[in-house]
Amino acid sequence: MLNLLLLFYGYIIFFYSLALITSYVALLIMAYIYSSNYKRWSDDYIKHMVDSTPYVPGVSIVAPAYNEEKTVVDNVRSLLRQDYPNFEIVIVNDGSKDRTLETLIENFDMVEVPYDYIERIHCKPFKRLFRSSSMKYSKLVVVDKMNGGTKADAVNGGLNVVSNPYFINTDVDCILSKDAIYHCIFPVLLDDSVIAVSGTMSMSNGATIENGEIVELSTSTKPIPLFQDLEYKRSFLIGKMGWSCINAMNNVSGGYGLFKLEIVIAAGGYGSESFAEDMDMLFRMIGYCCDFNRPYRVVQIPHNCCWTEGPSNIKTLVRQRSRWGRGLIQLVFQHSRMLLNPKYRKLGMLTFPYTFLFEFLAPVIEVVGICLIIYLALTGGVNWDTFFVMFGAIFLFSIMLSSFVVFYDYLLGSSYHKQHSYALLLLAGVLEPVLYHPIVVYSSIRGYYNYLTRKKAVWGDMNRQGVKKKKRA
Amino acid sequence: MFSHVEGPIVEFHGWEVIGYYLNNIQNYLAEYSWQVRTAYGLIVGCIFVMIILFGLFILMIRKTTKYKKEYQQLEEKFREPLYQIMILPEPPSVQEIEGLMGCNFTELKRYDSAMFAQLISSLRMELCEVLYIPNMQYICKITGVTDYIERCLTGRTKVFEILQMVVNLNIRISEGELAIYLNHYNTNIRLMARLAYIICTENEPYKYLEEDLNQKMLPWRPMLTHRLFGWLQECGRPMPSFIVIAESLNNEEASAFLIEEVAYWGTDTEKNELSKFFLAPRYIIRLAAMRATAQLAREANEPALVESYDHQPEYIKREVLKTVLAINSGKQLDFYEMAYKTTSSKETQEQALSCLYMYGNEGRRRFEMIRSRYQVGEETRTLLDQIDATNLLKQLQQFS
Repeated sequence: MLNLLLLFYGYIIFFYSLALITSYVALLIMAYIYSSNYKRWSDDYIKHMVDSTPYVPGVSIVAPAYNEEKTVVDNVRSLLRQDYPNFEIVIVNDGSKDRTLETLIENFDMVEVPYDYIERIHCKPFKRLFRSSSMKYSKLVVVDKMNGGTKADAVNGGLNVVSNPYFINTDVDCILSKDAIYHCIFPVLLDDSVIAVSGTMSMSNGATIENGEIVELSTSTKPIPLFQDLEYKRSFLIGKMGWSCINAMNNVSGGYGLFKLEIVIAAGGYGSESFAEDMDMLFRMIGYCCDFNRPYRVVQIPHNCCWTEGPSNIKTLVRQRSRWGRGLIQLVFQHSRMLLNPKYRKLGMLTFPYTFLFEFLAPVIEVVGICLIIYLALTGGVNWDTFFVMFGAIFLFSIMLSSFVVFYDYLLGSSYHKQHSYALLLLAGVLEPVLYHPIVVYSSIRGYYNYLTRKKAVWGDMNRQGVKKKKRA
Repeated sequence: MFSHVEGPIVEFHGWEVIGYYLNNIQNYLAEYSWQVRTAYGLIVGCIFVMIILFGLFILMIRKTTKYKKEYQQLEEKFREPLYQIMILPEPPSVQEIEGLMGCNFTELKRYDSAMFAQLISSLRMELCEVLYIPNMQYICKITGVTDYIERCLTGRTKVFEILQMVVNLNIRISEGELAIYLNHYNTNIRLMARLAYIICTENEPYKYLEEDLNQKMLPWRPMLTHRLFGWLQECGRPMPSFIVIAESLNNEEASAFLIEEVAYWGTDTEKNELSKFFLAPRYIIRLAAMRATAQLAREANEPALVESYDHQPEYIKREVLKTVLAINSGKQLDFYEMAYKTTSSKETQEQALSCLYMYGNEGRRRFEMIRSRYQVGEETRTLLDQIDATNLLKQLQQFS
C-alpha cells in the first residue's frame, strides 16, 4: 500500500513539475510577445505627447510613512522630482512615534489647513492635513492620522484626500525613476479600461544615491539582496509580463503600482486586515469589475520605475516572506468563491488556480517531497541515478530561466551601469535553487502555520541598512 | 562515414547524420523509463538553449556597446550645431549650415541616418516650444533622415516606430509612401499613418479625420490630435471646421473633443457658436463647450451659461460655476450666492463658495459675510475655513 502511495505521489510530482516548466515556458513566450509590442511605442513620443496637451490625467502619489524621520526628507524630495505635468504627493503620517511629522513640517514649510474630511473608505481617524506655503513644494500634501497598524489603513487614509482620478501606491522609502508616472500612465492612455498598472521594481541595495536619485546602479554584492534582485526580475519580467499579455495578472505590487481611484473606492479600498493587501486589492477590483460586468485590464510595463531596499539578512527575509505566506493563505480562503468560477473570467479560471497550485501549494509539495526523499534514502528506496537525472533537469531548467531573465533585462534596456552586475546575477541563478529557495519555502510554511494556528501577527521593522550615498565634493 | 567493427563502411549524408545520432540516443536510452528520458531531454534542451543564449548575450553586448560608442561620437560632433540650427528663427543658408556643422552635405550622408534620427528626436524633445519646425525638417533632409524614413516605409521595416517618428518630428514625406498604411489592418499603424498623412499632404489633409474620430476614442487620440493641430497652426496650415465635423459625428467623445478644441484653434464664428451647446442633449458636449468657454474666458457666452444653470445635473453645475469664474466679469455675485443656497450637493456648495471667494474683492466680502453666520466647529464653517486657508496658501506660494 505504501509503495502504491509513493508511486502515485511520484507521478503527481513528475506531472506537477512538467506542468510548472510548461507554464514557465508559456509565460516566457507571452512576456516576450507583450514587451516587444509595447516597446514599439517610442519613449520620446510618449513624453512629448503627454507634455504638450491639456488632456493629461492627474495622478496622485500616495506614500505612507511610519517612524521614518531619518529618511523621510530625502525620500520626499525624490518623489517631488517627478517629471510629469499634473501630479500631487500625499504623504500619510500613520501615527508615527518619532519626529516624522515635525521633520516634514520643518523641511517643507508645511502649514496645517482646515480640511472638511470625508471618509470615502474606512481607515483609522483622520487628525490633520498640511499643505506647504512654499511654491517649491506646492504639490505636497501631508495627512496626519491615527496609527492603523497596517500599510493598507494608511493608504486608505491617503485615498480619502487625493484629488486626481489615478493614484500610485508606493512606499516612502522607495526611489522612483523621474519618468515613473509617464510610463505608468501610458497604458491608461492607450486603453481606458485599464484599472491598474504595475511598474517593474528592482532592489536598490547595491545602488548609489545622490539627492534622492540613483546615480550608479549595480546589484548588491551581498547574497540575500542579490538573490532577491533575481527573484524580482523573474517575477516582473516573466511572470507578471506574461500574464499581462493575456490580461490575467493577479497582483500589482504594493511597492509601486498605479490604480484607478474610482474602482478602488467602488471595491471598498484596501483591506486593513490583509497581510497581502496588494494582491487582495487587485482581487477585489477585478471582482468588482466582473460582478458589475465592467471591462477591465491590468497591465505590467517593461520599464523599471521603482527601486526598493530589500531585506539584507536572513532573519528579516524570513519575517517578510512569512508575512507574504500568511497573506497568501489568507487570500486563498477569503477569495475562494472566485476559484474556478467562470464569472471571474481569466482570474477565476486561470490565474487563481495557477496561484493556488504553483504558488500556494508549492512549498507544501516541496516539503513533503524532501521528507519522502529522506525517508526513502534511509530505507534504501531511492534509485540515485534517476534521482540525479531528475534533479539535474529541474536544476538546469531553473538556471536557464534565470539566464533568460538576465538576458531579457539587458534586452529591455534597464541595464546596470556596470556589466559585472549581470555576471553576479548569472551566478546567483546557479546558487539560488540550493541556497535561497529553501529559505523562501521555509518562510512560506511558517507563514501558513502562523495563520492556521492564529498566531498574533507582528509586522516588525525592516531594519534597513540604507543604500550607498555619494559624498558631495 | 561510419565503419562497423566487422563489416562494410557506410556513408551518411545530410539528414541521415542527424537521424543516425538520434537513433543512437534512442537506443542508449531505450532501457530507461519515459520519465527519465523526458528528464534527459530537458537537460539536453536546457544546455542547448543556454549555449545559444550566452552566444546571443555576448553578441548583443558587443552590438550595443558599438552602437553607444558611435552614437556618442556623433552626438559630441553634431549635437551643438544641430541645436543652433533648430532654434534659428528662419531657414539658414547652405553655407551657414555647412559652417556650423563643420562639414559639407555629402560628408553628412556617410553617418548612420538612424543615429541622426535619434539625435534629432532627442533635441526635439529638449527644445519643444523654441524649436523652428521648418529648420528641423530641413535638417532631417540633409542628414538623410527623411530618406531613411522613406526607405523603411518602402521596405516595411519598423513601420510603427517610423510613423511615430514622422508624427513626432513633423517630417514631410511623399504621400505615396504612406498609401499602403492608410488602410492597414493594424489599428495603431493605420491611425498613426493617417496622422502622418495630415502632416504630409496639402491636398485634402482631413480626409480620414472624420472617419477616425467616429471610431472608439482612446485617451491618447485627442492628446495627439491636439498636438498635431498645434503644429498645423504653427505652420500656417488651415484648420478643419471643428463644429461642422463635431455635429456630424456619432461618437460623442470625439464631438466633445472637437468642441473643446475650438478654444485653441477655432475661428471667431466657431467660438461664438459655443453657447448653443450649453443645453445640448448630450451632457459630455455641454461639458466640452463650457471648458472651451472657460479657456477662452469669453464674456459674450456668459448670459447663456448662467441661464442654463438650472437645467444642468450637479456635476455640470459645478462646471458652470468654474466657467463663470474663468470669465470673471464681476457681475455674477448673486448667481454664486444663489448656487450655494439652492444646491443639494455638498460638492457644488464647496465649488460655489470657492468660486465666490476668488471672484474679486466683492466676492471675498460676500464670502466673509456667509462665514460670519456660522460658529467655529460647525461643518459648513470648516468647509469655509478650508476654502479660505487653501486660497491664502496659494497666494503665499506665489509670493514665496
